Amino acid sequence: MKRILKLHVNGEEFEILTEVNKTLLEVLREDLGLTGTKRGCDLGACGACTVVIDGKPHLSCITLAAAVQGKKIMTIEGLAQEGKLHSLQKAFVEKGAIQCGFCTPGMILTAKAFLDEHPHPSEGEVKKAISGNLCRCTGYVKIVEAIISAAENV
Amino acid sequence: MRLPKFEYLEPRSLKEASKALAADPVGTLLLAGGTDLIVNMKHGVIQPKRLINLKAIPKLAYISDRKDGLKIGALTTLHDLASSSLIQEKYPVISQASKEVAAYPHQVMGTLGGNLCQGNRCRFYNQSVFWRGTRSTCYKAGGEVCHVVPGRPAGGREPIECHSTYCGDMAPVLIAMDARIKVVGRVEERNLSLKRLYTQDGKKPLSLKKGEILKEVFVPSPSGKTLYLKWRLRDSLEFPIVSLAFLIERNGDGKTEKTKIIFSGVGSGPVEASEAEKMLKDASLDNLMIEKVSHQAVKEISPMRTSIASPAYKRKIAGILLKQALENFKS
Amino acid sequence: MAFENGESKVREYEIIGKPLPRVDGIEKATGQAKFTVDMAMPGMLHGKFLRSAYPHARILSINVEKAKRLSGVKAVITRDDVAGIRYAFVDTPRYPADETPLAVDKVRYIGDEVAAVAAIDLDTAEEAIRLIQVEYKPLTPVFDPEEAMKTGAPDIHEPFELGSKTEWEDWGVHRGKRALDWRDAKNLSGRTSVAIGDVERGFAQSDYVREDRFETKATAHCALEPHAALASFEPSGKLNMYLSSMGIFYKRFVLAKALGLPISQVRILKTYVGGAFGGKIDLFPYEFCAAFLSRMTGKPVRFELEREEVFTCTRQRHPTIVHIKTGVKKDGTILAQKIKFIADNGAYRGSGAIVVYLGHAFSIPVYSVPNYHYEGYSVYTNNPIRGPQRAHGSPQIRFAVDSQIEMIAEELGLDPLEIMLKNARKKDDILPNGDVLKSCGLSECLEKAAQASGWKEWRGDRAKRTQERESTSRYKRGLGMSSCSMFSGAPFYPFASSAIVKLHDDGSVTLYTGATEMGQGSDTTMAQVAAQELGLQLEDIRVVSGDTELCPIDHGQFLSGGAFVTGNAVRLAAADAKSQLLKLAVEMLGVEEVTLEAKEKRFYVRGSPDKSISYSELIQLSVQRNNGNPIIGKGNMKAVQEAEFYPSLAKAKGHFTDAYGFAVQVAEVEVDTQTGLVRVNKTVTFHDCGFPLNLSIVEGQVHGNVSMGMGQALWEEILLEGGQIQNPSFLDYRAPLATETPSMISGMVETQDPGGPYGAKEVGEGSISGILAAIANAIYDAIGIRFTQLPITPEKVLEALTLPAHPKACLPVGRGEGRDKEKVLEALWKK
Repeated sequence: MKRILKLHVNGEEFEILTEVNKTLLEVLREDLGLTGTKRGCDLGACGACTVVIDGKPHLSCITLAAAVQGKKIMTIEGLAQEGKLHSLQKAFVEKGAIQCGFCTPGMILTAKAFLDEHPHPSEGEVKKAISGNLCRCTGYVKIVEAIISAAENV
Repeated sequence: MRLPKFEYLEPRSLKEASKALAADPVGTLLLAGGTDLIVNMKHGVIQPKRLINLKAIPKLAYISDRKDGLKIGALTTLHDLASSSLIQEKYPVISQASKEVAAYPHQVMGTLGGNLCQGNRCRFYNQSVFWRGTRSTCYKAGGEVCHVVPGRPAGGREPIECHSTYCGDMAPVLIAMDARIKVVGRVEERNLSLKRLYTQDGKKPLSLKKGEILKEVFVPSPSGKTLYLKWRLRDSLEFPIVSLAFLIERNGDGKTEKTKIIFSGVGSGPVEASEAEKMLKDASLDNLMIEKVSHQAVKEISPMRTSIASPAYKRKIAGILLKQALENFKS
Repeated sequence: MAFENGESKVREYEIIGKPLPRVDGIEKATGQAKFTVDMAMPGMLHGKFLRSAYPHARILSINVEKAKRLSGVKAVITRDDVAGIRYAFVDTPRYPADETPLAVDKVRYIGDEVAAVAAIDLDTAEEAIRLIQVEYKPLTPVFDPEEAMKTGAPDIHEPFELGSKTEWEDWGVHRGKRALDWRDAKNLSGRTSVAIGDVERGFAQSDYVREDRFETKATAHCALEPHAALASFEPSGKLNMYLSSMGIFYKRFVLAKALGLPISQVRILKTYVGGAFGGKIDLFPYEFCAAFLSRMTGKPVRFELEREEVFTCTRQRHPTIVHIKTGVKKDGTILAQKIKFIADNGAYRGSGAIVVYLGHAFSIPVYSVPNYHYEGYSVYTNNPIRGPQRAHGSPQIRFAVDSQIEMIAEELGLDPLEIMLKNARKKDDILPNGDVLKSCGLSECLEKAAQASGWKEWRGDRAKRTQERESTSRYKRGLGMSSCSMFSGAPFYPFASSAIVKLHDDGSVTLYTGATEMGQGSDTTMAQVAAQELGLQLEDIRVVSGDTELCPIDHGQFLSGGAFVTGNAVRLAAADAKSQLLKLAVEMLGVEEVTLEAKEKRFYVRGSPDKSISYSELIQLSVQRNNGNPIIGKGNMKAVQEAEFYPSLAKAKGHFTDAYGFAVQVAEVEVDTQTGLVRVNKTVTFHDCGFPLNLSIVEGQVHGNVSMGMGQALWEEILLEGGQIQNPSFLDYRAPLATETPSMISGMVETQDPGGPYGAKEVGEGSISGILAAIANAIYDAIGIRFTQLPITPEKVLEALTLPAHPKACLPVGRGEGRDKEKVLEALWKK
């Protein structure tokens, strides 16, 4: 039985007629066409589906869309404001922290939530913060550099 | 992986939730963070017809400092536990253990209650429908055989057992600290020690009665020092292969007054090595005692082959973790 | 972590070589980049497979009636619908294609596709799968390759009549006599034999001979984007496909052939690829079925594999058993080497016939071995299918060879670095198959890696090393070294790359290249090549890539030819455009060509900056004067100049590649002797890639290689029991997380290969192979225990540490199944 879910995504209100058994990831990608959030494993073990909800990172593949109505959801598409890149996005591009780009949205959003809470992290703290985001291309080295650089330049 | 269809409920109070749960205890499950539940639903090992979202109920997440101890609402997230300055100051091991659960987003989504009540795990159970389809359904998933101990005929006279393993991080720590829990049912509230929440039965690991929901955890002010040592291969994400919560209280003469040795990952519930604890009473911690106690503690655990780590390896690691813990307090 | 190029002479160019930010960076950082999994079309159907739960069984019957009748199901296909269709990555008269889109007579591994469904949504597709009834007769499976080779083993494949032409025949190889006598054991899927000199005489002349056995396990690519495909047909009958792949022209060829479509009627469109690492080359059933079902239903059909399916039903790295016997003089000079390389292929050939060739081909360029004998066997088992994975065979063979070098060094009282240097190949060496090392920086890499890692200081004092090793301290550190080599392109369809450079009115450029951007940075590096050649900035180049319709042929990204082959094609295309412009410029300015310098979309006369002409003007002139010629440059580069086809896989004869990259790696580990945990603190990689086209991208590739190599050395293993993967998830398959990142130092040795664009050759695949032995050797250095079986998990280390005595010679330390060294060696050379 479908029902209307009211989701607040990237500053906009959406009313979506859908089944209640849908995950937030499915609604974002299929109903809202926001394909920036990725499905890497669908079981919460790779972080590719990370979005920011009320300022904190959530794994959208194991979050029920129905359970996050009324909360402020940000996907990667909502990070840059009016065409201006967030300092993390800039840093990732400049430091060569992007290769295939599939882990990038989840990685950037996790980093954003983390830096908002811990503006001056150590390298070890950064590694721990992104340890739920799997990357197979970069070996994490330039990603950590980019996050530290973004923290220093904010 | 698609979720099966279910009815989704957002009750406004714990009593309402408890009533709904009691009305259909087999077909109704509680949703908190979802990091355990939703994965199991995708794997098809649980098929609830109804989900009750506890996070929709107000005032269930709180950290409250009392004179005699700490009250934590069951819906408090692990992230809030980890970052609470109160907890970091007065109960640092709770903060540390919270930071060891999975990774950052799981700590944000996951709740203390959810972590304490997490489902037991087994390599034959926590798999997809396709994977499990190569064998008959296991006992925990509703079948009649346990694949961990194959060869036991189904329908035989001995009662069948489920050997699934409890792998939570918070329980051993809080049990070591003598935590108590408040459980709310349809009609009444109950108070019991956290340790009694666990039945050590892999098929039904929690002692909660029909309709009961964990509401609050009370941690008495710490009287000794507690350590939490978690062993896993990578420094994040994984459940413990073995983990140990160790508490020690010393009296004025430096002798051991009280110890708690609680393991996770080695049994169907958190396992207390009580004989080893007894050995430590009034003992001074020298190398010989450390060796003896570790040896004894290992005898008190019987890990089964429920994960990719072998039982022999788990026993070794359990002994090593306890030795490491004890070394910290050597006389 | 810093990029260290201080001493090596990395030439300074304006664009090429510079660590410029990627051209696709912003797209990816903002979530706008589209991958195959992001593509959708109106009316799209969803595909799902019914897969075998048996590792080996005969299919007695398949009943799809109920599934077909389910509301929302548009098509269900089984073997009857795809009868007679065969394809494979390797399809030659000697090794004919052994895969079918759906199982025909048997299922051969758990996960084998039996039926496929296309339905209006995923829930309906999954329900339909549940309604399909299959009757199986289980057959005896075999999971161990050495068992599978024995006479009594069950036959996994039956010989079949070669029907239509194989791929290689399509490409021009003659069928000739189909030799079946190469099968000298049961269940063989590939066989390579190489003999150079007289190996027995070499051993007789050696001062020291040792033989050892090494084992590696299956590992997963873990590309983060799951395998997926979206197929749709135009009314004219043309197939359009989005798929996540790394060789679109090769894929198009096989797909067209399998579907019976003319090649021009198949188009693969560009999407970004979320990682591949070799795992997305083969034609997969989901790609074939997407197209087949789309044709059948008249609707677009999409398949996206679940992560478990990616682990189980795509490809894995070949587990190997390597027996190696080496004879040396007492100064470490290698006189003879005998290698037996056994690869567990899995249920279908995959790339088995190739990996047993590469076990030789990726090792022979490293050390000079005058007397050499190599036997490679790839064996069918009822395990999941194995295929190419980053460096394909090189990690396994280099692990064996360089672990043994250290063991030899230990026995002879030498520094392994000495032995490596003594035997390292040099520039102008000619390999047994005729390949010439026109550039080779191996020795320099060895020296530099040693220097940067403090090798001589660490290893110099043997007494001190032994003392530390035998001390009672809890944490012990060690250093280990290994070297490796990688090809830069090989003769495989389409055998060449081509590129087109089109100039726009404003003097900027669109570059058309068939290369696929899958993270390795080809869009960026190719744009840099074009920009450098034409004196433009990176922003002036727009790249159109990865589309078989819009772009000319490309060699593909699975043969390490991105820099060398495609790079050359791009450079030549840009040079062609430039020469057309120059011709006009010379005319207009009235000067000699050599006086002209290209910069900022203009040609300047050197020394007279006011004398110049813009590209814009020149293009205008060309259009007006040369009958509308808008200036289009074309370039092409054959993958291997003197070779038509892939070298003989069976005998390793024939040219393989025109350039080899080299890398040397040193790993510093710390072993916790209490728990067996091994931490890699630091790695040093010195890479001869000829010339790094983009320093930042090359560095990123090295980091990724080190991380993957480290994972596969220490924690990664596809655990199999009864042919079933026990850990088909990111939770239980232990790929490195950010918390496992060592400090990584990388440096370049610039050898300027004469054949490569700006001297560039392979990068991006080679430097995984040196990490495994480097780590194993470092562990030996730290605790004096030799591990000959990967991965070297804490469990294995702990077990070895608690054994009563540490045997110095190799013992494959397994899960408590101790192997007696004598028995191992006894069985070593028995067939």
